[in-house]
Amino acid sequence: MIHISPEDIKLYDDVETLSSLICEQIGYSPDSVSEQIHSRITDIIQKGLNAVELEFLVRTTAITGWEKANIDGTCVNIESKKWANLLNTMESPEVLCCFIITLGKQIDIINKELRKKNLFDPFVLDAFGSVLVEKAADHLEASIGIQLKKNNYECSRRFSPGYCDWGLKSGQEAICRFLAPGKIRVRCLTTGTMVPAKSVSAVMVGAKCVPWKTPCRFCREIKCPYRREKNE
Amino acid sequence: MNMTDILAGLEQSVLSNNPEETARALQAVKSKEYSGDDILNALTRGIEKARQGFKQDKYSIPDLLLAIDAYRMGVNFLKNYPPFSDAQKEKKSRFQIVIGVAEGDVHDLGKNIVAAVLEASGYCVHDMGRNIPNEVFLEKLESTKADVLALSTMMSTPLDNMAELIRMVRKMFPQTAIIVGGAPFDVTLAHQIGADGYAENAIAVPEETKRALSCITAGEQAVASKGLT
Repeated sequence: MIHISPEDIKLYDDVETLSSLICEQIGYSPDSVSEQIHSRITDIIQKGLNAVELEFLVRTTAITGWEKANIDGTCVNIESKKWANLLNTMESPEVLCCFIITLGKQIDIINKELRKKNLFDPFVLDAFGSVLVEKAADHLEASIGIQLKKNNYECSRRFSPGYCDWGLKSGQEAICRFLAPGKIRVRCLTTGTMVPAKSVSAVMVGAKCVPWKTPCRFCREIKCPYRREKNE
Repeated sequence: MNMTDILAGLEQSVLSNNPEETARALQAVKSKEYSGDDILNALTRGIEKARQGFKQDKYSIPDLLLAIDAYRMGVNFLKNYPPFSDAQKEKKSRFQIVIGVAEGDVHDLGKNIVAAVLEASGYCVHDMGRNIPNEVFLEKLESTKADVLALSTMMSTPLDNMAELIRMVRKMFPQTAIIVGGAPFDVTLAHQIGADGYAENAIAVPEETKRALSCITAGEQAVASKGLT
């Protein structure tokens, strides 16, 4: 149902915009950064961009049912009360689309080397990796949305293990069992951590009608830092 | 430039966000043949100002990291500064800290910052890295006779394993103080898991370490005698 080729996911490589995003992420105001620091950040971004080996896996499966705290798909199970509840608001939720996207192991290797020299450069490279992998995941999410639309499905936003009430360990295990990410050289530690570090795993729900794209609107955690939609 | 100005310049260079300025300041002190202690004191004053600036929100995390990098550059310079490095060898060893990220977690950015802050505060830090199995921590504690074990995780999933490590350390190394930090922790959880101390952030670490040590060792006098800032 979903076919996304590597060429479909363009790497976000605008150095100046990345620099602004990274400054924001690490707590610098882009306007107050000296020319020297700006140039250092730009060098690290360039080094990071050269090291990226973007790879991803996407696989869909049919939703076979859902209960109060569970979404069941063929070969995959999601233990989340909030997301299971969201399915009650959808018309005919039928598809689970799982994906993992990674920037590859070179970023981790370079970061390890940088750590031997100083603290600032690996801090910036880490922020670069976080920003870039989220951008790549955004892009992949949008592409999956387009593909689902071609199949007459609307879709939810992506959701990842460790967020909302979906446990990190059980969630990563479920996705990794289903996707077998060894093909893209991603592995999951027993605690749920993914290696390489700059990797994102997520699931999206496809349904005939999706009025709410996340459970945020009816979630009571109003101070949740990951809130994506306001309460009604 | 007189001798006081040169040392003030070195102190200021730690706060300059510019490694080249620190390198230049170190060359200047070298040419004047200062004592190693004078140089170390200037560097320490600089890093202390950076710590205070961070505490008061005047500096951001990257500013603090640049200051620590400058401080480390100065300390490395001193290692090859003969009168100082020879004298240091004869000095009584400092408190030993073994630090690392628990098994199952690869997030080590916070741990790296904490390790650097502890080093800049005068501790001898053995950084084990990340995703470290319990037995490796225990071997290091044995070989270093460490005074403190500092454990970090950014995730809740390694907590059971961490609690097991703390139980083992309590049994095998009762004189070792244990401090913990990272996203899942607060004071209550830190105590529940059996730690002597909890540091909410890198800035709180030196004081919390000192406090945890004073619980384990003979008290504040012992801490002071090892020359910690």
